[in-house]
Amino acid sequence: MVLRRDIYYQATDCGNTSNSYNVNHIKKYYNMTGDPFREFGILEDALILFSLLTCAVQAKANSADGAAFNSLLWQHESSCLQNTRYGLTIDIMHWSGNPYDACIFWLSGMAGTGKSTISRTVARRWYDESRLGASFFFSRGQGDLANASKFFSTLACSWHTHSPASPPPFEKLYSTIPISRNKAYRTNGNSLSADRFPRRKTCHLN
Amino acid sequence: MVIDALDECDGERDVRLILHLLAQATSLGSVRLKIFVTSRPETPIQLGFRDILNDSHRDFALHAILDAVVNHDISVLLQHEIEGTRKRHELPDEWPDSSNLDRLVQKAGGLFIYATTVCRFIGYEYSHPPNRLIMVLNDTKEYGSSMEKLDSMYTTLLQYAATPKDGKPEEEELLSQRFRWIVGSIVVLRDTLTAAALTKLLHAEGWEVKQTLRSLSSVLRYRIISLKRYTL
Repeated sequence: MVLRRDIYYQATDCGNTSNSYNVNHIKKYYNMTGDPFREFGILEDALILFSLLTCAVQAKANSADGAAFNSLLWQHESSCLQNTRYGLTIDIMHWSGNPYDACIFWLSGMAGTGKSTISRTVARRWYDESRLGASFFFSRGQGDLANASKFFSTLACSWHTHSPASPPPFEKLYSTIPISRNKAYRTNGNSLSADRFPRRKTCHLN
Repeated sequence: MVIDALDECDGERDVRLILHLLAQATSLGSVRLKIFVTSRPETPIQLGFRDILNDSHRDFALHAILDAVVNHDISVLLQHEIEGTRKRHELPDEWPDSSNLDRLVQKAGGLFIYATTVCRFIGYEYSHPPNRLIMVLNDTKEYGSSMEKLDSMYTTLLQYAATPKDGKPEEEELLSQRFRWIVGSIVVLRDTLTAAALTKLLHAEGWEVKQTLRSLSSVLRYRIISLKRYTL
């Protein structure tokens, strides 16, 4: 766990702004519940980077609005048209389906070459296949989307919402906090509807 | 996970830290995370990737794609957008002729942003698209670099927005003054503002702001979140 705590502290240090609060909050939670990861066995690995980074309450309170690909902010942005970016999309899908391939795919390109459109296409596709854990679209001049201060907490929150492997103790905490209301109309009603998360009474949107 | 435009995250140290932490995902035993990251090829990000294990990332540069492939994609995009415009404006099927479309593809020079911006300009609801297409095609920068073409495309668009062709001369001066005042202010804004806040800040009238920005819809993102916000 030494290494893991180390990773965790680095992550909470990211962006600095609200992080001393983050760290104290986690410490408090950690002390309160003992070691919450002890009982999960193999699941704990999955939690290291994300769920562990900020505790659930903090993550939710500290999520950056508009970060997700399907948030209201991006609702008028389009995806790639059919039959465009053909070879590249196939490459990306092969990579994502191959467990032995690298964990990060870095797509670089100059301004205006369509990177964000490709990101949206990939995110939409994974989302439709129920494989999307989280998405974060940085955007200069857009407050929290222009720096790292809420990056990990936003991912943690979204990760928790999408992931079937969420840890039980967090589940309890989450049930008391209303979910972000800033999702695009397009996915309202099917992504976060009450029947998918029957125990979370606060999940209704708008 | 999808992380878009990492270069737009402030703070080189944070960017490198993010990459460093994401690369730790390779060490997860029970779950295999796949992380799709996009960015401009900027130095802090290149350095960030150099710091982490080679095995943990696969890199792809968009400029490695053949021009012919990119041009094909841009041509599909143009056709799709223009078809929408043709229907909305009830224009004949033969508009525009294919040689003009090809010229637009050449002008875009591999930049999707060029294609989408030009299409928004041409398809503007209160315009006559064939005239606007000719304006864009008459723009002389046919063979410059992509950036020069983009510059010149924006110049055409902004000139038109600043002083609409059908105005009277005495009105023109007034309009262009107002344009400099309102659009100039948006250009230097560090963050987005709501329409109401901008109007107040400039001691302007609501209709002045609205009227000035209406002609800029192809380059100005007018977002409706809960309030209206302007970004260029």
